[in-house]
Amino acid sequence: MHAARTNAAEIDKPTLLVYGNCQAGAVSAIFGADPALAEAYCVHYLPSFDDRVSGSRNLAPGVIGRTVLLLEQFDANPFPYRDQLPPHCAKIVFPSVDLNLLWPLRCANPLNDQPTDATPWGHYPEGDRIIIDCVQRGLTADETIAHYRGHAHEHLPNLNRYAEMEKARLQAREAKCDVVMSDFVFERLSSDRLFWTANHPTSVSLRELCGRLLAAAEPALPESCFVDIDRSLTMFPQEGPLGFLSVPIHPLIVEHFNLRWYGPGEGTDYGLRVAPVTYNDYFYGMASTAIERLASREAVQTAT
Amino acid sequence: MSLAEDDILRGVSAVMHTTFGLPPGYLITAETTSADIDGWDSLSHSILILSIEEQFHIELPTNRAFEVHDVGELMDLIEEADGARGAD
Repeated sequence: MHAARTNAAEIDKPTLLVYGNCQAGAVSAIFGADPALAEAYCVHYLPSFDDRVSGSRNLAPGVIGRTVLLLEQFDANPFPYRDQLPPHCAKIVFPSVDLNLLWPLRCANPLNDQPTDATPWGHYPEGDRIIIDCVQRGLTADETIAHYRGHAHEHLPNLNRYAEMEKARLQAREAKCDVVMSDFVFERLSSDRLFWTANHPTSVSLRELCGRLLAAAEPALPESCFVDIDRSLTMFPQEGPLGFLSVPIHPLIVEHFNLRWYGPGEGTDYGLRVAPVTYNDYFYGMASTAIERLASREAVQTAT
Repeated sequence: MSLAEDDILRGVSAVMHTTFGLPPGYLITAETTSADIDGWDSLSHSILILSIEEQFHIELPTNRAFEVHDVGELMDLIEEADGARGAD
């Protein structure tokens, strides 16, 4: 999702500005792919984070001055140019569409591999507490997987209480937004795949988010009734704008939340896109990568 | 018997070390905020709260659990929930 570049042909068009994390980038790309919106507006994405893929967080004054609609994702880093927006600019705040409920063992991965152009966030940006702990205790990849299979379930929280907490978390954030999504997420969780990872929604969720944004923006965006989100989504790979990485879900989670859409071989990796890897293969890869990373760090420390 | 402040801090520290994979010597204080700890973000906050509930055998007020800004505020919430349990 590259931040939109303003070219000469678009210079006089009013701007539809989308601000936020990678999801905002996806929303911007979906809207930018719609002929009705692209004809009338320059659709521009501004990342709320330092993103090595999307690029600059700076915004040219001309772009701000032409902005007629700001779609701002609620974020710890609010849109930094609010005071420079034209007085007539409409503003809509929307939430990040995320859910940790399906990955309760998720953590930051301190032993991820180095980013490359092909894998800008490394292969395993989403860590797993049990895997990382085993590797740090010196277990081999085989031992780690054996431990995982035998003991990961002991580390799962009370899942009903966790669902309550996640719903409360989303609702607390949505109280500060003009658009909500938690009702949709909890209503459709069992019947539809809504997330690839905790913060990468699938096309099902993005379609709903875009629809709700258009409905909220309708007074400021007369073209919204002509927008065909489904057609825009066909411009992306089958798995959608954010489906380049998928993290497998623990079988007990699948069972507890009755995830009817989930297959036993779920989980895709960079470059494989739609080629599934098994639950075990995925975590074996994460463990092997972490072991290599730990060994190379220790080698550097020994050398110095 | 209600929990002493030191016990609460020790328990919170243990949970945070496990939840965020902190190195053994990493010091958690009442002033520690999410900005100090890699991985303590809005997404991981609910699993932190849940792990704290399990550690102390309490139930924290769900809505207020998302309003804490540092470990000190979290400790206050734990103390309150522990006191409420004792009063039952």
